[in-house]
Amino acid sequence: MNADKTERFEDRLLAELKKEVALNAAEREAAAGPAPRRRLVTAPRVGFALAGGAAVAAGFIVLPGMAAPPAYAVEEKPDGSVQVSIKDLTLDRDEQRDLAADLRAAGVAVEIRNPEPGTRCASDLRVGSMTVLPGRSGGDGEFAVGRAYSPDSAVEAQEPRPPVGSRVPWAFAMDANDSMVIENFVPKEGAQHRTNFLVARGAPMACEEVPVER
Amino acid sequence: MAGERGRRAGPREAARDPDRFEEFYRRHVEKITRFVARRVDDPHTAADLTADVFLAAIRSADSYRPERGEEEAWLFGIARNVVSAERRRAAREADSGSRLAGRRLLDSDDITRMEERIHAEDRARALLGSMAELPEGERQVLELVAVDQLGVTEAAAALSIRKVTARVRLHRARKALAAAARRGPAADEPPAGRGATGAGAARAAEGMRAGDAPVGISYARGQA
Repeated sequence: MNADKTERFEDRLLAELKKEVALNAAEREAAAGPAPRRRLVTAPRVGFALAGGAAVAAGFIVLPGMAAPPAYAVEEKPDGSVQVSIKDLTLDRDEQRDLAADLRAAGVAVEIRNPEPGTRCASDLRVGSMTVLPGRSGGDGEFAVGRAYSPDSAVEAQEPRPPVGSRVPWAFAMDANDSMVIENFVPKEGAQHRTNFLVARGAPMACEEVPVER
Repeated sequence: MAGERGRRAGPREAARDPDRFEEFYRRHVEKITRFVARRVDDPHTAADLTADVFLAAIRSADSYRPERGEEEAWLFGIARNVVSAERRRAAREADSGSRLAGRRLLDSDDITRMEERIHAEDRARALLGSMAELPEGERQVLELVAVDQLGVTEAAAALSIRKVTARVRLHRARKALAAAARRGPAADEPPAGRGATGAGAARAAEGMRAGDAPVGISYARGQA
């Protein structure tokens, strides 16, 4: 034991940490609750409180398992389908990219489109689409089966579409060869952007930018 | 999985019982010290950070969820965060000289030993440096897999991300590095601001650990 000098540091460290564990256990017992976290500054732990404090108390460490609940979930089912659940429809661009990456990994083709302000993508008829309006993070929007934006369908799609606020999380199953298009469009210059989620069978059609009507 | 009682002490038990903690600590201290030594080149800082990792583990033992991954992955996640926190602290304070703790436990022989350990990880540090230009999320996964030798599942658990996300990020990272290596050292700024150059990057792209044997970091689609 003496020959291994590194061991000595490790042993000293272990001794200090064991004191910390004992104090930790005493704290828990005293609190008699489910894992309260209180700070104790007592003589034996001052050294660690300072060192650990720099990292832990200042709140810079996000510990594994403490992440915020995910805005969406993608799950590959044994039958090859992919279950998608979007809990927060106002995904920012990074989250959209992550969602796209997850879906692609599950075999679903995904495109994120950002057409020029005042335009959006005309596309073919889709299985389903969801438009998230700005400022409605609760998930209000519109969902229509078999509808997507195109100059033609805009004319015929006059029937009221049900709000989906109560449908969040928006959950649906896709086949591995389905596709999703996430379209961030700005109806007119200076307006807030909206996000449109489109689900389609097969590969997504190319985006043809057309002026937003209405 | 046998009952937790009779066998190995997990983080929760370890944080409540000094004897069980010793068992837990001895199981991991070597790997954690090496993890730290791959990321810092100063023995005092390495000692501080090693202490910080275990301290944070004790304090956050309740955050450990066995179903989310092995305890080693959980601990590596903490280690990663501790090292990142140290970098931010160092950037802010530019050495205020206020560190205590781990380094106080070092004697001169320990310092020599720690330096040797740090030297042993020189190539790993160089490899990590070559990944610096990758986007954060991709670099984190590649680091844990190619340098720290975690599996994709463990890396995902360490980063608190889904396994499928880890796979995708790893794939992207490898592609970016491979492309950068093909372009060569003169290449500049690919579209998304990603890309690293040099032999280290090429090696990482090929999935090799810094030291010796080539290690594949390819991943399989499919599930578990």
